[in-house]
Amino acid sequence: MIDVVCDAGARYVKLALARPGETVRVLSAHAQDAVDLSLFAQRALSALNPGRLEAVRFYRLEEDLAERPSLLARVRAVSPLRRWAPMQQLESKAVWLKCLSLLDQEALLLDAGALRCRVFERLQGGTKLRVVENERCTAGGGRFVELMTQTLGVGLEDLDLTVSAATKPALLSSPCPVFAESEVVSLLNAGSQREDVLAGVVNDVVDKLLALLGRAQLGQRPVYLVGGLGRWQCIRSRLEQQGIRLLEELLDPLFVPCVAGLMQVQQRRQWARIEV
Amino acid sequence: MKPSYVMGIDIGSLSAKGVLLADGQLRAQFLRGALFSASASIDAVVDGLCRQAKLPRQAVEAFCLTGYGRFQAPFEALEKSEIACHALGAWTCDTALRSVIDIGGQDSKVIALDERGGVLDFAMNEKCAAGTGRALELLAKALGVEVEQLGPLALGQRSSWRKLLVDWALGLFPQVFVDRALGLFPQVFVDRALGLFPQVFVDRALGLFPQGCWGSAGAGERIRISSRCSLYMELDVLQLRREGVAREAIAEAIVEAVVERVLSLASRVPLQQPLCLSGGVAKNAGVVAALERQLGYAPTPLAFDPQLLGALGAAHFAARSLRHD
Repeated sequence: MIDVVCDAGARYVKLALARPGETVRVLSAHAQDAVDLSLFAQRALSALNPGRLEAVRFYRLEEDLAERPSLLARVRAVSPLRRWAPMQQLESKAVWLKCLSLLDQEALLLDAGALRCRVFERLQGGTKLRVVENERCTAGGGRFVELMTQTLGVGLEDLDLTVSAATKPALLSSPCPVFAESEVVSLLNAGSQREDVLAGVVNDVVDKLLALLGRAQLGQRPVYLVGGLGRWQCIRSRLEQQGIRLLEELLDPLFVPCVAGLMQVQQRRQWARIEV
Repeated sequence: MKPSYVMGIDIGSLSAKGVLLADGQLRAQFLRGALFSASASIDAVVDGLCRQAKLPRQAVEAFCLTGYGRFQAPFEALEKSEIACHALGAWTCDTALRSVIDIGGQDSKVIALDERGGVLDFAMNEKCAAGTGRALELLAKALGVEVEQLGPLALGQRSSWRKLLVDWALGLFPQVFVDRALGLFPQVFVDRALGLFPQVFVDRALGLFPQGCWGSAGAGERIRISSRCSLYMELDVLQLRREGVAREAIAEAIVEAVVERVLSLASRVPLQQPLCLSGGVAKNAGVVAALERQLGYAPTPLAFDPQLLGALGAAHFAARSLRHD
């Protein structure tokens, strides 16, 4: 039996798969290339496990569990002509509690994804979860950074390198990603350097994360950063410059939720060893 | 006697537009994508109009600029707000108009007009661009189509005979039967059946059936996406695609959400009839149809390109400035 956990984010679809007790393997694809999640999961499984007859349990992280699957979903689930093997739902709340249970007692978890940024805190001895999130605007998310890099003509993979070359970070004032695109163009027209503008974008994003942590009453507690933004050294450094005590990365921040989901379904008690 | 030439130029976030008037009559109109700098866009529009009209630049007696790039003119020109220009441009096309809804690249406005084409009141999006052309572009991209295809796709959804059939069938099939049927079919049987079904069969079956042929919601079914932030809307579109919802249904939901966002401005400035649309998005037939549905009446069609109404209004302001001189 092999367990597969799928975390379908706004920009990337992430998979973690393993047999109980074995090393966890993870992989990701751009969301536009993996619209059909089950097909993507099936292909990934076939590539990693060629020609092997093995029962599979698919799970998908869900914010809210549907009370009951629709009639159509149930008919599909048992149809031999089904498009996908059905995915069982795995409530993300349980997964975040699992993540927090593996961290220091007092640590907060900051999930900085493409659109959503959330701070998680354990309450009542780890049985309850408190969540603070950006509900209306995505200006502090990874997609915002991606749009700005596209406008500036910088590859997202060069973000750290470009920001490190900045000498005088620009100041951005637009909260909306679409308005900020125009502001970035105006700054360039006014003679600002690309690296300075990009550093301004990063500072703006970090300011939004700080505001979120402030709402969660961070105080002196340490923070474990997960999600796509956690992959960028410039974000981590800026957060640390602003006095945030970041915990050391235990695994690729992008994959933390789906690996934790896998650990949850397999009842693992320590951080998993992963292969990317 | 030589005619008096005036030019109105509208530099938007996504496109640059220009109109040339000779003695108050339309002589040439020009539209192109915005260049990297506003001053380059202005030059390109002036050159384009002069080329069309076969005029030297010096023959133009007055210029009026509008749009976000109006402050970067490389020459002396009158500057007017987009709101005033769209109002006057629309009014010169039809003097009966009392409201204009302008949906541009990055902003949307609701403008109330007086009987002389002046602005009585207006409301515009200040913090969020969810009801704009750029949002439509982002959402079309998330749907995997060009923005020009959104309108026809959304309209295709509306005219689908399948929608009528689904609506009719749903009316005949009360939800209580579905619930009872579900209650008779415990999840545990599904799980057991799945355990008996090895991976290799799934792979083979997948090879036989192309992706998308089992869409969970077909054309004809109504769905909704939120109209919060354009990037959240992008995520909603992606989720719907993941659920296998038909593109037509998503396209319709996109235009409905964008229009809903635009019309939320109307709570600040009440709309009065007759009303017209301006801006590039007014060319999107899906958006026009959605507006008509949500307003309950059809916007007045104008015999002029709605995307150029701001430039037309600017040109009339330039002509007025000559008369005042």
